[in-house]
Parts: sequence; structure tokens; C-alpha cells
Amino acid sequence: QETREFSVSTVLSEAFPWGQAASKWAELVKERSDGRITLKVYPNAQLVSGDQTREFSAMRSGLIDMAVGSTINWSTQVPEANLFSLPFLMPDNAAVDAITQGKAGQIVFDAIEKRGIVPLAWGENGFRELSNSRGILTQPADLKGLKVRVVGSPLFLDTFNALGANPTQMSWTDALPALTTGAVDGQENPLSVFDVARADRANQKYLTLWHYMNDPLIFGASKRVWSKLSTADQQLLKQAAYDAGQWEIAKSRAELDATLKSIRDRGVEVTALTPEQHQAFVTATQGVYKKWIPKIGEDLVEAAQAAITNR
Amino acid sequence: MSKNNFSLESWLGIIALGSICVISLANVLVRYTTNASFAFTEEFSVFLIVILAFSGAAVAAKSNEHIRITLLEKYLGLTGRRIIYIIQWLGSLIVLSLIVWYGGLLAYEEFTWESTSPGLGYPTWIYLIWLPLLAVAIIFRSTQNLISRLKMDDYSEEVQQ
Amino acid sequence: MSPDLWMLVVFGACLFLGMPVAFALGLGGAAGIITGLSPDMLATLGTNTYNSVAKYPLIAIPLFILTGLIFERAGVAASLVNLAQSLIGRRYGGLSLVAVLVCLIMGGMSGSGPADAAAVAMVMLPSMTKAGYPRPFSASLIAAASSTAILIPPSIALILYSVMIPGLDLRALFAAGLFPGLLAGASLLIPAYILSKRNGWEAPDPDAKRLSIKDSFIKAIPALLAPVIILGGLRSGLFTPTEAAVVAVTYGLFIGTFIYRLLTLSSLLSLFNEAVKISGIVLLIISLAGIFAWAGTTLGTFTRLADTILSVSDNSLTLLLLVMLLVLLAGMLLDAISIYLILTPILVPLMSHFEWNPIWFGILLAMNIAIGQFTPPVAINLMVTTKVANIRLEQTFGWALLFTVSMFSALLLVILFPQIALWLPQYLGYSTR
Ligand code: NA
Ligand code: NA
Repeated sequence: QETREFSVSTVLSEAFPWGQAASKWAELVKERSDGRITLKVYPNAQLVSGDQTREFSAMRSGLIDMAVGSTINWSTQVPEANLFSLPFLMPDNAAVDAITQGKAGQIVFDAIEKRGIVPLAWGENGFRELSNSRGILTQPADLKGLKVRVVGSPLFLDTFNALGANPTQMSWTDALPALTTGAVDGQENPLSVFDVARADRANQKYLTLWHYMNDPLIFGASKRVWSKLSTADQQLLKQAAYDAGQWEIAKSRAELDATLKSIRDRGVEVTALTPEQHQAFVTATQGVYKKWIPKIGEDLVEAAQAAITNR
Repeated sequence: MSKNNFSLESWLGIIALGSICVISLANVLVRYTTNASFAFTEEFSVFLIVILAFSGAAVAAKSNEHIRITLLEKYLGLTGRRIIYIIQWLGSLIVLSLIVWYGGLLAYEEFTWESTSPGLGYPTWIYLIWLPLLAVAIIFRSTQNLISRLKMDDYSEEVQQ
Repeated sequence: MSPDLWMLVVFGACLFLGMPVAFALGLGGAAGIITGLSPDMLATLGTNTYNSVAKYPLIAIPLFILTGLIFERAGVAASLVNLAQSLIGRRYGGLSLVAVLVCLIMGGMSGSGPADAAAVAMVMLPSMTKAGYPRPFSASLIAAASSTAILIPPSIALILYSVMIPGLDLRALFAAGLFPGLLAGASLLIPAYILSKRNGWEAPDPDAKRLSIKDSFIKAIPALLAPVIILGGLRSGLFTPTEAAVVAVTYGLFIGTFIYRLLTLSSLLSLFNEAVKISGIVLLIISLAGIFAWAGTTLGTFTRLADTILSVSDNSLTLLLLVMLLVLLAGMLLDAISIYLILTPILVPLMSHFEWNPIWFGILLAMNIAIGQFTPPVAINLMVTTKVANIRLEQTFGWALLFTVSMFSALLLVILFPQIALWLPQYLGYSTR
């Protein structure tokens, strides 16, 4: 019996939920195919020399078979994926699920498919929270002049500019020493990344749980590879991706409290926003919607907002 | 090196290196004095280093200064050396042609798929197209260098160049 | 023949035939892809040649090469050399000591080996040649000594490591690199002294006029201020390690134009042109080394190599030595960034299994990767210094091997006495876990 191996690209390693999602997928596929199909996970975007934003197109040209990618990184190729980066769109986990499991999620999947990648299932990188070395941040005015490291898409620049901050784009390689020495004040990342990467050691003593966006992960396969698989194998890979995604989402959500506690234990001042404070941020960033809705697609944003209202 | 005798690639590289200096320095100064910083620094610098890398490689190809092991040439006669020169040129040609072809294809694909850059949202192909273009320049310069080496019949003269 | 073997054989054959190292790497990678994967995968030459150089931290390389050229032309570096010479005097191995010292000081400004190598080679080679050192020896010594730039803070390699092993305190990692860096530099002096004495290079001359320490000190002040400004700026958060390179360029331009008054607009243009060419040579190798690394990764060559070596034993020390041997081998063929991208995911599970201290292990890796910068055939520092010395790469192989042995001995010392690395960060109160 012929065995086949496929490459799976991820940006973060197994130390993070992102890498664990890929490993779980590989584990399930191996088990369910009796070792006939193996997925080899390549972390750190090493198949594209570490440039995560080139993962999608490399997969399209067949250099990478499959990937567990982030909507932020794929948004350069799929404008619809910017939906999830709209500031303060999704207030809670239920809102995220309402989008991914409903019509809006399907529109995003269709957009991905149209651009040469077969989307298989959702995972989750988590809500991105803001940390800094300057002080407690509870209102847009507190962000004035704050030098924040952002990455990914011009949308992030617009969001932080709307809040009066000074966003600057740098790779994490440069951001880490910049945060450590104070050349840059703050950064935004999911809690799991803040925790594992020990951002507190890079002067990040204040953390605001502002839930301004959630970055879902997407399991995907190159069309070139997918079209050569039997229907049974396609089904197996897809189901395994779905199960791995659900497992990872549940696991990373369940771990949040413990993560938050360990961050607090290290002396980081954690602040949650009151509904009024949250609303002030929502109001301050409305201009971003005006600019980005035409690029993302009016139907999609409407579908997402409807799903959230009815969640 | 005489003044004003730079090739097109030289100028391209000089402009790229100069711009990297100016952008990075301005970024440091602006961040220090006004608390702001340029969002575009990283995206432009990363593009400029690609320009610098491949135009610099073309400059070095013209004068055959790429690092290599020349042990074999020392022991060969004139005919043998000329054959070796052609083989060396062919090897470079294969790699560079692959870069031209697949680099061009990539730029074309990114153009048709309307991909945008992660930092500033510009079309990606305007950055990527420079890779195949400059690879063509390296092919051109390597060929020029091959012709001049084939015309030469004294080895020591060639090493000293 | 297996695809792995094809890759190596084609690479070796191309090198032997005298093809530029960059293209030999590209052809080797292409051979591996065609024999082991599918010709379609050659598309990696379109995207990964670009991705491998399109990295922000790499801008430090051309900038420090430019700094080296400016410091050389502006007389900055020469004043450093004069000062060191007036302190040390003419004696066996004296200039070797000067070269290593200048490399260490330059390493305190730059975080990348090839940049450091270019700067020091341009300044030191002429005076070392005049004193009787063979150029291949000097080129190898400077290539080896400048590799300490990735150990002495700031270090791009250590930053990369801290990104690959999330959660490490970068300050601790930087502090841990200092003494091993100095030790690595010092280890080169032993063979340099013995050789210089045996061969009568730079024979002591009691009648030689010694430069006045005071005069040479005053002339060297602007040069000595450079690392102070850069380290001060880094510590106070004025700029990032990558940006430090442009600060060095600006400072060099400033004192070259206004204090030493040796720079003019037309000399500046030719300096830029020279920097463009040397950068092109170095970056093209990095670009195509990325293709070679990609082929090796996708074919599973490195994983298999690692598995083979690591299956030999399950004793912690034996395995650590084997890991070091593996990295040494990888360092012969791969550039630093590829080694980090490819090998850390393979090595981290081992590190946690044997509970090796991650800071200490990171320093060991960095020392080993530093060695790789001057071990042939792919030896980025050596390539830069041979370029400056105008000699053939293969003339340096013997010397480079000698310095590999001495620096590897320094590495063994850090393996046996982890405190060489860990004492300083612990003393400064940084977490070493
Ligand atoms: Na350094
Ligand atoms: Na090497």
C-alpha cells in the first residue's frame, strides 16, 4: 500500500496553540489512515524562509501542500479575511463562532477557494490584547502617542492611528529588542503568545483585555494537491482538520484563565474594560469601518454583523 | 574606479543603499524627536535590500568577483580553461534562468490574483518584478564577462584584473 | 543515488569547477529538488530567493559593510589600530592581538559577522601584510575573530534564537554572550602567537620607534566613542540593533567629513559603489543558500542527519557533543539564519528532555554558528576577508581549520563550565530560565 507524506506549514511552533492545532491534525490523519497518509509539520514558516505572508501564494504554486494559517497573514491575498481584523467587531467567543459557523464564514471560505486554496476547517489564535510599558490603558486618550508594534495589514495601522497611537510595523525579531529597550512602548498579541513569549520580560508590565479582534486559524490545502486525492481521502483530511480545529479551539479557550493567572503572577497589571470603556473604543474606530467595508465586501460585513446580533 | 563610470546596476544599488540609510536614520530621528515613527520603514527597507542584493550581484558579475574556488583553473591549459569558463557560465545561466522564469511567473501570478503587501497594501507584483529583471541583468553581465575572459589568453593578467 | 547525495555531489562538483559559491548552492538545491521531489518544485527559486534576503535585520549587513569602508577611508579604524599598537608595541603576535581586539570592539557595535569582517579586514590587512604576516593567515584570523560579533552583544543571531525559543529574556541572552565571546576571541591568540614566533612574523625590533600613547589616544577618541555611542543608544532604547548600523554609518560620515576631513562627495560615491558590490556578493550567497536549505528541509535530509547522529547515545553529555558536531557540520554548508530556522525545531525537544539550560544552550549554538561563519566551503566571513585581501578562498582553508580547532576548544570549555556564560546574567539579576 502506498504511503504519502504532505507538508503542513505553520507560523508558530508547538509551544503555542497554533502549532498544537497542526500536530493534532497530523496525529488524527495518521491514526485514521492507518499510517497511509502522514502530515509533516514545518513550523516558523520555514518553507517560505520565515516570511509568513508568502505562505498562501507558496501553497497556491504547490511549494507547500497544506497549512494551518492565520486570517491576518492570508488577508494580503484574500481581502475578505480582513473581516476579522475590523476593530471591536466581535465582543466575545459566541460572536466569533457565529461568524465562522454561519453564512459569513462560508463567504470567507468561498473567497479563499476562489484564490486557489481549499479551506477545510477553522481553528483559533484567540483575541488579541494590548500590552505596554507606559501605564494602564482604559480609554482611547490613553493611547495618545503610544508607540505600538503591529504587523499584518494596513488595517491595523488605520485602527491604531484612529486611536491616536503611533503604530509601527516590525517583525518580532526586531520588536523584541525594541520593546526590551523601550524604543517601542507596546504590542498586541493573543494571551497565549504574550504568555509563552514572555512579553513581560520585554517590559510589557500593563495588559489591557480589550478584545479588539480575534484571529481565527484556517486549515487549508493547495488545490493542486487536493484535486489529486480520492474523495475518501479528502473526506478523511477534512474531518480530521475539523476535529483538530474544534479540539484546539476548546483547549485554548479552556486554558485562558490559567494563562491569565500566570501572567498576573509575574507582576503584570491586567485591566479589563467596562462596557462603557469598551464603547468608547468602538466609537473611536468607526472611521476604520467606513474605509474598509468596501474592500472587505458589504454583504460579508452585513452577514457578520447580523450573525453577531442573533448569536 | 573612475568617477561617473558606474553602470546602471551600480546606480540602482547606490540609490537603494542610500535610501536605506536615509529611511532608517529618519525613522530613528523622527521617533526620538516627535514620538512618531514611519509605518513604511520596514516594508521599503526590505524591498530596497532585495534591489541592493541583486544589483550588487550584477556589478560583481561584470568584474567576475563572485566568490568561488579557482584551484582547477590554475592547473589547466588555455583550451581547458576556456572550456571551464563556458561550463561556469552555463551553471550560472541555469540558476539565473530558473530565477527569471519562476520569479517572473510569481510576479505575474501575484498580479493576476491582485495580492497586496502586508504593510502598506501596495500590489505585491511591483516589488516582486525586480527579482527576474535584475536576474536578467546578472545574466547579461556574466555573459559580458565570459566573452572578455574567452578573449584573454594570459591567465595571470586575468587574475590581476 | 539518493536525492540528498545528488544535492551534495552537484554542489561539490560545481564548486570544484569554479562556479561562484552562490550558484553552486542553487544548482545543488535544484538537483535535490529534481531527483527527490518534482521539477514543479523548482518554483521555490522564484519565491524563496526573494524571501531569503527580504528580511529587515539583514539591512545591517550592507550598512556595516558601508561603515567599515567609511571607517577605513576616514582614518577612524586606522587610529584604533595605532592606539592598540602603541599600547602593545611591536612583538610576536602583536598585530594579531590588535586585530582580535579591534574585532571585539567592532563586534560591540555590530551584530553580524560578515559586516564586522569587512570593516576590520580593510583596516588591518595592509598593516599585517607589511609586518610579515601571510595574507591568507591574516584573512583567516580576521574572519574567525569577527565571528565573535554574533556573541558579543548586540547580536542578530541571539535575537533570532530568542524568537525561536519563545520566552527567553533577551537581556540575559545578550549578557551570557559576552564572556564566551571574549573567550572565543582569546582562543585565537594562542595559535596566532605560536605561529608568529615560529615563522618570525612581526619580529620584535627594539630600535623601532614606538608611537606616543598620548598622541595615538587623542587621535583614537572619535573611534573609541563609536561603540560607546552605539551601546549607549541601544541600552537607552534610542534605536534597535538593526538601526544601530545606520547610526554607525552616520557617525562615520560625520567624523570622516568634519573631524578627520578625509571624505569628499566623489570618494563617498565610490565607497557606496564598493559597498553595493560586496553586499551583492554576500547577499546573493544568503539568497541561494536559502534554496539549498529549502531543498534539504523538504527532502528531510537534515531531519535524517539529525536522527542518525542523535540515535547514537542517550547520555546527556555525549548527546550534547553530538549536537555540537551536527551544528558544526551544518555550519560548513549553511548560513546562520537557515541553521536557526531548520535546526532549532529539531533540537528544542532534546534541550527540554535533557533539561539543558536554554540560555547556555543558545550560547553554545551561537558559538558553533560563529565557527560556521569561517568553516569552508560556505564561510561568509572568510569570503568577505579573502575578497578584501584579494586572495583565493582555498588558500585560507588550512588556517581556517586551525582556528576552527581553537574556537571549538573554547566552545568545549563553555560546555564544561556553563558559568562562563551564565555568571554575568545571574550577577545582573536577569532570569536564566
Ligand atoms: Na555584536
Ligand atoms: Na561555514
